[in-house]
Amino acid sequence: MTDTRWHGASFRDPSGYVFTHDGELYRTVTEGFADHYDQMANSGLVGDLTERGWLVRHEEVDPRTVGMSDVYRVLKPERIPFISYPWEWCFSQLRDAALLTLDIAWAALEHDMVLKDASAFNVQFVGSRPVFIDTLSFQSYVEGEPWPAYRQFCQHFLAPLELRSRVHPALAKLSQVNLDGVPLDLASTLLPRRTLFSPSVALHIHAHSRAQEHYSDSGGEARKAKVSQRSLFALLDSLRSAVRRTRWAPVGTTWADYYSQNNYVDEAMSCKVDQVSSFLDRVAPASVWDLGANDGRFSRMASERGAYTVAFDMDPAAVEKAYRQGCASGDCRILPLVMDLMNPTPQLGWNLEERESFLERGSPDVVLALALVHHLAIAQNVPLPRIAEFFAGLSDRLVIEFVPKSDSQVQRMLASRTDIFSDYDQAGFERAFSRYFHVESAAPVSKCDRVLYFMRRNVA
Amino acid sequence: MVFDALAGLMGDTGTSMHMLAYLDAGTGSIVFQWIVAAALGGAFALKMSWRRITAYFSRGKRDAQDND
Repeated sequence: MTDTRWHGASFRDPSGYVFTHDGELYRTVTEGFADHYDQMANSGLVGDLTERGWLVRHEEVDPRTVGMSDVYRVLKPERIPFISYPWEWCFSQLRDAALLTLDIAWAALEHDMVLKDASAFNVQFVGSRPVFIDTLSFQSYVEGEPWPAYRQFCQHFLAPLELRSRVHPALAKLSQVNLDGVPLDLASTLLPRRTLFSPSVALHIHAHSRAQEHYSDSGGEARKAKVSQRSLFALLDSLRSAVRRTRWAPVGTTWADYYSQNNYVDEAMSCKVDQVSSFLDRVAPASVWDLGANDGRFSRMASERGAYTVAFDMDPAAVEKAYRQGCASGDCRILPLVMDLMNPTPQLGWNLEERESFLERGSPDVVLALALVHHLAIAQNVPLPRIAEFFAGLSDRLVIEFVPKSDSQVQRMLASRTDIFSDYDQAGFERAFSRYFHVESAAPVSKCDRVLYFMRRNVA
Repeated sequence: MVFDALAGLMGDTGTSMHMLAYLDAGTGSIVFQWIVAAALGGAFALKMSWRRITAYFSRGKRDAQDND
């Protein structure tokens, strides 16, 4: 029996719709979009973009084989290993996604086509490489037509970049609250007054925001608006300069400098590296999630062994460092993302089906949880049985480090609070996890009291 | 208001919104783009001309070095 499901986020654009059929991903091209689709192919735009690695590759399949009729084409795109969302990206990921979007808009215009939307959700990452996934985001260029995605680009990219750069990286979460991008009046209010003297911010955010308010009832004026192709190139060039000028340095946060500021690590690290290495060599996972990955030191050990590895950490600075390292090495198998396990991305959007929760987006072969459990149990008061239950919902295999109360990190956490964690010891830890996992091996980490466990989920 | 003055200067340049655009581009954003893109277009033309001039002379310089 076949199973066909329409994707929860694919309903706005009538050009075509994304669906899964027997677990495979497809995209329809509707009859009404046929001319634009043919121009995309015949103008060489699709070939150019896929050749450069900017646009996800796809193949055309016979619509009847996937139970479709009354459609112009059915496309089968290459699958992205892990879907991520803009508020989960570090600063440079968002910046690179913005530049890719502008490069694609420019290339489209050179082929007499126009990028009709500039949603950040149209960009995904394969490791450190951004790739545009919406093959149907292009339509024929009509002389004089304004760029319909100008507002969307400013809301999805420029405003969030400026807010993260000039106010605080935590404002990335504004993109989660505002799924159609950060409203420009909000961005204009939050940005410091000195940005009025930054030409690109003053123009594309502050003045743009005022104009939105001033011309909100000027439908007649909007219909008159005619923009030459040269002016569209100029607009894209101006936006590109604005994005390129945005900067953020990943320094000063607790976790970005974690490894360099902890002397215990030097002694214990090589032991942990050896233990985790031998486990990864033995299991040879295809996919790994590293929770609390910091700058991705252990994630890289997994990716170097061929596993597509998602390195989650709650600290944007640590993720920024991991991403920059991935870019420098050209590693396409490690994807660093910002994720707070105490408040991970939930289901979002229309009917709660547009954006998937953190837990819905995959099932890795192995989960790494190194130097993490004490942050959940002591700093956040999550009882050990609930932590075990959480990990049991993620993966069959778990590498987890138990950090006892005698550890200097836990001592620091307990320094300013009452120790209410009577069950937090090695026996309590093993008891909690034994309900869901059996321990394949456990090894003490040398020069400290920590223990590294290699666990396998119990068969139901 | 400065926007009104600029919009007045632009005059009536024809109708152009594409019927297939599914995205609401925003009335204010379109009018703003109309004004801003025209201004940026002039500066962009100068920038491109300057690039061509500098590219021409740097190419001439390279050719001369190659001949040396």
